[in-house]
Amino acid sequence: MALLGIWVLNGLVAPRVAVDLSKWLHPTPSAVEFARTMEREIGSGVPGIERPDRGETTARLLAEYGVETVDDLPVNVIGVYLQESEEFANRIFDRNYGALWNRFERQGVVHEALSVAAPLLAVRTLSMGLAGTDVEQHRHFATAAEEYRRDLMRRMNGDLAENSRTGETYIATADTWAEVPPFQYDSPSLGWVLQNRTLSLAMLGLWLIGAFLVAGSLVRRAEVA
Amino acid sequence: MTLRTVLRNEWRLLRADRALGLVLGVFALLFAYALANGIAWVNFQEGTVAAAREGNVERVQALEAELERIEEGGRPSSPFRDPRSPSVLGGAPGAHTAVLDPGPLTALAVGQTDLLPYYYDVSIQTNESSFLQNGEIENPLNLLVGRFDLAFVVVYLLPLLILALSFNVLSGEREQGTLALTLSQPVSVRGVVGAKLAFRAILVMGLALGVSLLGVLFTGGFGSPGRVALWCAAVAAYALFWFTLAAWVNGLGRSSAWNATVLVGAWLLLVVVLPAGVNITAGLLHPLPSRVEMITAQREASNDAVNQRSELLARYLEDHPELAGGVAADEANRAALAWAATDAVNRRLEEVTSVYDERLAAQRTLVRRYRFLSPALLAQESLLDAAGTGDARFTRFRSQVREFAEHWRTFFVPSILAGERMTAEVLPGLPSFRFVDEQMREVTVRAAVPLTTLGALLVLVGAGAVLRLRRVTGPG
Amino acid sequence: MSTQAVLEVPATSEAPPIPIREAELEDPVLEARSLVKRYGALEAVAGLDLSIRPGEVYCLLGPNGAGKTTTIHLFLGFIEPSSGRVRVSGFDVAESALEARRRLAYVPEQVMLYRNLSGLENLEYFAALGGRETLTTERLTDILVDVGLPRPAVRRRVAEYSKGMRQKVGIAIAVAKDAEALLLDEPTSGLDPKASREFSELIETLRSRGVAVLMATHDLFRAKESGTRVGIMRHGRLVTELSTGEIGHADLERIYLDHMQE
Repeated sequence: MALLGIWVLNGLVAPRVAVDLSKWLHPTPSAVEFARTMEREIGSGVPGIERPDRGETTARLLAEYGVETVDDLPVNVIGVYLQESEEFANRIFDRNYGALWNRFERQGVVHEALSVAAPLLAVRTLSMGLAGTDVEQHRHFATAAEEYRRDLMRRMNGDLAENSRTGETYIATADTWAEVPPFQYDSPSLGWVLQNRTLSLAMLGLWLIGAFLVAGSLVRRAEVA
Repeated sequence: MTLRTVLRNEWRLLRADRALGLVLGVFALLFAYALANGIAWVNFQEGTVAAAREGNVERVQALEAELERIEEGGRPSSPFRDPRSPSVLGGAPGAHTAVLDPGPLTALAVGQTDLLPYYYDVSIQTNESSFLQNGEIENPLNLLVGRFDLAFVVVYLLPLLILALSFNVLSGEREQGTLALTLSQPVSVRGVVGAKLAFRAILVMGLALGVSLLGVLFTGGFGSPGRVALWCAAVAAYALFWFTLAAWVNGLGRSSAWNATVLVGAWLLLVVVLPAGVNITAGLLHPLPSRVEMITAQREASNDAVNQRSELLARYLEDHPELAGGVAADEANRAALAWAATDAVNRRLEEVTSVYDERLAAQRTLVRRYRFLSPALLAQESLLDAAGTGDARFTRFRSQVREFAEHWRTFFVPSILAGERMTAEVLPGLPSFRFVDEQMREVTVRAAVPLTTLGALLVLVGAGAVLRLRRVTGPG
Repeated sequence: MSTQAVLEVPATSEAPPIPIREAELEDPVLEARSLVKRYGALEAVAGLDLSIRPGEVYCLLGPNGAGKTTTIHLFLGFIEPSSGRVRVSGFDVAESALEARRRLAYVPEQVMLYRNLSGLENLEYFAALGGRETLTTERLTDILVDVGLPRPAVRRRVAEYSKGMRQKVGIAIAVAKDAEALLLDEPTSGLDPKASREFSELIETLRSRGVAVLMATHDLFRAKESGTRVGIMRHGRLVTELSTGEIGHADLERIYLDHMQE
């Protein structure tokens, strides 16, 4: 009955307590809240990350190339502006999603730290890590995919900016697309994965050593008796 | 007489036994914790729902300001977001968030509330893929585990408390030798075991129902006494099932250790293995199409649709002759063309989602069929249903949102097709979503099946227990 | 307060104490007829006939495995006879076990009690189960003290009791029940000589109140001392029945050993 109690605490209660504790220590915003924040920040920018203005972009380009009118510019203002907007949005996204991901990871740390009381938590994070299904590797992949998308956008906006003039209807050729490299994802190395999971490894090590010590002392006591 | 005597003696034994007191104390803490958790969730959901409602108001106000500004000669802040266009007003900028308030007993059973969306942004862009979106922002690690709510404690942990208190209800008396003196008195084994279990049942149910009612009290759930009664009935029936199972196993006359092993085995099988098995089987037999499939279908449909917009518009108008008169069906009516494309995409999506829905329905049917295997599944279903956080209420919400989305479309589409311009005057008349909750009668009828099954199971095991206990005549 | 005083108070019997000689005319309280209990091929009790009347103390003597305890368990209805009948005050144990047990008090060889409760709480519980829930705490305390439990021990946990003290609580439970028949299974094993002697006096008091006593024992001395009749059992059979009034201690021992040698 005592063993069963430990099993239940370890297997059923602890993981759920870890969820609550991690959410309490590192609260995540509700989806509505998050969406509203994004909407607001994309709409008006935040200090340090200003929303680009087409007028300003145009003025800057005119000054940079030392010409008087948009038609004299060697680049398409729309293309430059689109890329600037893109970069602005990226920074807002990075800011919000980065914070969210960091919170998820810190929540994960709470789960791992709680494995001091319930080794299951360490085993679970570790096996998820080795199976490539932990939050960090998900983020790794998502970041790689996002990088690819941003690169694609950069290429397209650059193509538009360099190969057309403002006001033109530009249609990219098949060659432009042919230059885009296919998405290639390299999964992180084992070392990288384990580095994220040092806490779990340490906890499991502690449990192992602790179990050996307890067993050893019990055996000695039994021998004496 | 025997009952009262045994109850008093059990009370004394309980007070004298620190270990039992400790177990009860731990469970009382778990119950309180689960309840606090549930209440925290309700507050969170209420906050979210309030924020969403506020968002609706704010959006309409912003649109109103913008429309008035434009009417007074201002320029729209962005050519893509000109609210005079019905496809903008009815689209994302003017979207209406349809919300589902927490169920009356959500504090007791969060259920799938953290998994299933309880609000949707409804606009003319709402289509089947909108219903596949995730609800709350949540760490996937946390979703994987599930929530520590009262329903979890009742379904998973309560049986363990019951078994810990009852696994040796008869065998313990035999092993400590007190059964000999007990049975030399004019009492039946059934009577004594029944009374001892009654004592434990009073404790356990007092705890479970007490905390439940406390939760109801805190969150104002007494507004639906029917649901509270259903909840209590489900808790009681499930708890009694485990008590009768313990009685039956004790009636087999084996040692306490054997009883403990068998009962824990039963718990593992009925509470952990079978429910997981049923869910895995359902997933294997009726796999849901992946989201990627959905997205690909949407892309292909969009590409096709963009290439043949005018054709689509013509076809759309053929399907909707009532609109044909007011539509300027030429290339210049870009909104109308776009709408025709959207409509075509939506229809394609419906084909994909119908597969999704079918598979999901098949999964549910399978789970519903095999829930009879496990009292834990039956109890879980009854509890969530009573709390209003089960599938049924969410399905109802989704179907009402679908209707509302349809309503929203019919409000805007004719204007889109006719190329009309909107003014601030339409704003007060915009459709607004209100969830119509299910009638208590529907809930009762639905919950009656698992509840009566649980009751029947209880009677069956109880009868078995009585028959076994009747055969026990001596302390040997 | 003496044991006699305690026993006189529950006024269940209207008649004055019955003299021993008249007892033989009464219907037996404990009665076994052609009683057989088989465990597979083994006959634990092999055709036992026994009649014990009010005011009789019947001592079953015999080695381990002779069937003494089995006989007592058959009277209690703990086990079912393979054939034959057991009656308590005319109630067939097989048919109305509860009625039979209402009239029986039983002290097992090892009195096992709830260790976390006091002797008094144990007595209170078992007396109440036996239908004596109206006895007050004072009365129950008196009964415990009268059977020889030290007064301070009454409210201590049974876990701290010696075997003899637990045995006394068992006897107190039997006394409090005020039953028509008393079944004793090796009641004096583990008691010191003084307690054993007190126990004999107690039996005598109960006997004089008209209780029918069936006592299984190894103790020839105690059997001769307390018993009105002695039955020697071997291999599930009564091999001899004697009236203790007719023989001395030495005779009983000789007869017993003779039968064991066969």
